[in-house]
Amino acid sequence: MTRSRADLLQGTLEMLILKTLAVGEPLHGWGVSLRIEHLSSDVLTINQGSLYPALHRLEHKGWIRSEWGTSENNRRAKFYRLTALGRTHLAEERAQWDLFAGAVQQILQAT
Amino acid sequence: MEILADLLRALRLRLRGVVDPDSAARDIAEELRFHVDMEAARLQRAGLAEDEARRLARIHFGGFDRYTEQTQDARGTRLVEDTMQDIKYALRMLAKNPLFTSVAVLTLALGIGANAAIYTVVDAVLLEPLPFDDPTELVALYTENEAEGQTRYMVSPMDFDDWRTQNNTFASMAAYWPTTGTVTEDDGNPTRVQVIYTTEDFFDVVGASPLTGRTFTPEEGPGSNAVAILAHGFWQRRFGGDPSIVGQTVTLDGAPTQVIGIMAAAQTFPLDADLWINMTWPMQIQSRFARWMSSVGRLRNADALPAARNDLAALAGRIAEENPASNAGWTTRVERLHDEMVGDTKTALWVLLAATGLVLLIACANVANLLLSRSEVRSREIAVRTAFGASRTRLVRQLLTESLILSAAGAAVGLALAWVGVRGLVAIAPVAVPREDAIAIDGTVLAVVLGVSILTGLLFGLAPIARLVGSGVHDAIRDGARSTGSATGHRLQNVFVVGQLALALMLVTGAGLLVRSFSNLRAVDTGFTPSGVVTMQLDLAPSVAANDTAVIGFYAQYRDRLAALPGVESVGDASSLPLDADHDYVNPFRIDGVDVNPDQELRAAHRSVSPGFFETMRTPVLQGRTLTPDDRLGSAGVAVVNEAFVKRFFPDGSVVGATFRNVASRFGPLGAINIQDAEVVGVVKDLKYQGLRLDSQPAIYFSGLQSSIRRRTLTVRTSAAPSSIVPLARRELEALSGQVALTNIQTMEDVVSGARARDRFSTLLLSLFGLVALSLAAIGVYGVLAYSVAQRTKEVGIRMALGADQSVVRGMILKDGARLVGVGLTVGILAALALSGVLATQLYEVDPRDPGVLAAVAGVLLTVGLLASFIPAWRATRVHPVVAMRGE
Repeated sequence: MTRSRADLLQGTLEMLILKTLAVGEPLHGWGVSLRIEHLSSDVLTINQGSLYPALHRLEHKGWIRSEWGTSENNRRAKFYRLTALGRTHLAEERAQWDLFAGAVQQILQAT
Repeated sequence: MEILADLLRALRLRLRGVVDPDSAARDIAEELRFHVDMEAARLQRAGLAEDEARRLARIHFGGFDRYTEQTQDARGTRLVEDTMQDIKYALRMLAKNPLFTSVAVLTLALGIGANAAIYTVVDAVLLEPLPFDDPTELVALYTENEAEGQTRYMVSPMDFDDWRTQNNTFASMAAYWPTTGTVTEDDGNPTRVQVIYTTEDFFDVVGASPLTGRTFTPEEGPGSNAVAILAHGFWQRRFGGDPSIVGQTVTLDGAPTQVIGIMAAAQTFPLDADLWINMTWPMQIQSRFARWMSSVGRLRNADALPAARNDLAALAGRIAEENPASNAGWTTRVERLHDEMVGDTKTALWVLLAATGLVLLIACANVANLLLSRSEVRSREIAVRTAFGASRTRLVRQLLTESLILSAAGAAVGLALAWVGVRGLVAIAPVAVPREDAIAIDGTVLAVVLGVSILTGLLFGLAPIARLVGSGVHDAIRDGARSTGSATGHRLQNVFVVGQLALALMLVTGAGLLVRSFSNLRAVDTGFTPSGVVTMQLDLAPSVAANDTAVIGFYAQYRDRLAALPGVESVGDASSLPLDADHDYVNPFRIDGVDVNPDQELRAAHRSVSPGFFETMRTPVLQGRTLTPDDRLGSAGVAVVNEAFVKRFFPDGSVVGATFRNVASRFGPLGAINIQDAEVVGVVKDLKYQGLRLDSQPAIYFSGLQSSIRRRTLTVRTSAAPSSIVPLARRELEALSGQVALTNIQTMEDVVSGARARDRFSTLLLSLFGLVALSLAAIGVYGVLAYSVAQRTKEVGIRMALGADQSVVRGMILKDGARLVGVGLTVGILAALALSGVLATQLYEVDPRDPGVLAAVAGVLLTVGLLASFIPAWRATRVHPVVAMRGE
């Protein structure tokens, strides 16, 4: 029970990160979390304990890539950008999510 | 294409994690710091103070450990990075507690080092097969005569010839005769050598091939010329390892002898051989009475030992039927050659190995206890780490890494100890250790040590792990929970201490028994006074003394010369030296003039001693007189007998005045007794010949002036320093002949101490191990009680605040200690009793269940245990109530 929920969340987080990076310029981890909060109108708060492992996992899969750059306040920071591989996966994930969300929606509306 | 590049980049990333985990970790740390800083900045903007913002940002961030780990996890390089990190962490922890670390490492080093050293010797002596072809087929052949107390005796050439030709179970059989000879150089410088006369097939039977040259051919048997094969050591010593010696001649006992080959060092059998000469005399001309050859056989297959025993026994029975006079009562004994070469050392070594095993167990228990005690201190650290998300497997790995690093350090120090220890062991080892110089810590030993150290690491590492990981996280974090959380750990510690005490008791009991046995051996009456006597051996080759008269004359002259030296009080010589004899020549005798105990077969050791021998040895004369210079060739034959002789054959009466008939006999090439009849003129006290443990056998001493034994040991009693007499003795010998060498120079005290060497060896080592075990057990008791006192500080504080007397508190702790010690001793005594049989063969006149020793040992352990309890108990009474109640 616990496990499946964690999996679901993890998968979702990865998709959200990919989507966030797909929208615009490269972002650092902090930026990713801000952007997700912002885009969800502060409904979703990213747990940093999950964010960085997810970022590294994605990078390790080759879906995103990172490089060190300078942040808006002139600090060294690591910026992530989506790769072509990641773009393909985002599309797949998205399709699956739509399918899943649609199914859930259907069930909830059944009564 | 772009996708391929993405994949390659991902792969590179993984590689970097492995190749340079540090930089990967630095990257993560920096990224993380950036995030926290940004979060803090945001909170600050929202109106928080900088400190508070920072703190909150940190809290928002969540489990630091888990974060790092999961991030690294995601990188797929986890295992390598973790292990490196574990090792670093462990080293840091160990470095932070130098006292704990050094105690643990030293304890383990003692345990592992002792094991490695003893195992090295055991491996070389007991486990390595003999370096011959199919060594398990090799057996040693002996004759035995129960009625005469002769075991592992030699065989007569005629009997051997019958064995060799009529058996059904042996592939082959060879005989050999170890004796001494003198090799002289052109300049006349003599060297005494150990010569082994062998049947020509000796090396084929043993399965040894020469380093260079050849061994004996089938033609080099009876009737051929004597040729020589050199042993490696002698070849190196004497000829500097020059291979061109093969084909040249050496002068052995005055006769030029051609060298035909050189044997490899490992294949030196018997161990002390310098050169081998083929037996050139026929077997059948010798008497069946003259048992003087040793024998070795090769079985048709290694499993045929029982069949071979029956076969040879049946053969011996047949020979005895046909030749009752010479062979009645004589049977055979067949033993594996390896077992025989290892001999008594076997049990001693196994006992020592078992003892070191116990020491190692105790060491393990001690380190486990140390770790357990420390795990209490660390339980909060561990709990915090668990709470922050470090997984259990991760913690277990971390703790195991620490244990293994400890045991590895212990093993490293232990190996160093062992390296020194092995030299020491070989140096004081009481037996000729086969291939002594080859004994070294080799691959096998290293592998065993490695295995042992891993095993010990796991053994003592698992206890605290079970304790730590098993306990509830929340309990451990909570302040007051220390005492409840430690219940399991405490019980485990108690079990370890009880085990330690029990093991220590067993070891110390063993040591106690050996010490008792050794002191019994020291008290054994040897029948002589060794102090002040120097002994030296010489052997007269026919080239020096052509006939019997010349031999007798040579020794008489030499004794006179020695007696005239300053400081010399008396001089004697003997065919065999007490406590230094390989074999006595036990022969039948006939005696007239008194009634002999009819139950006994009339056989006794025939020895030859010169006038002055008993005086030099200060052997008490019980009846009659000893030998005088007048008891020489041409006068009436005389003999002296020992106490054992009288006891066995004349339990009721006196033997003085009776006459031995037809005593003239020739002991092969050794020499002869040159008189027909010998009147018993005296009885002397028993001198110990065959070791201190055995009862003396009946013996007849003939006059050295009436027998022409060529090899004798001179005994010189001197008031001067023993070392000062030797060069003088050499000078006197050179004046008589340049071809004779003085060898085996030793004081009689050395001889006696040599006879006790094996016992001293075992006693010394086992006492050492017992002492180590005792100290480790004491440390164990102390550690557990000290820890329990620390645990109960608050309780003690409350008790004392409520007015408990100091003595009550002290009694409380002492009672804990006494209970531990009591249980440990009980278990130990039971185990010691159960295992008492192991030591039985090593003991001399001590019951392995000797209640005195057990009681004394238990007393010692009790005292040590209570002393170890006293310090913590005393410390408990020093607890200040206020400090104690404050908690920490």
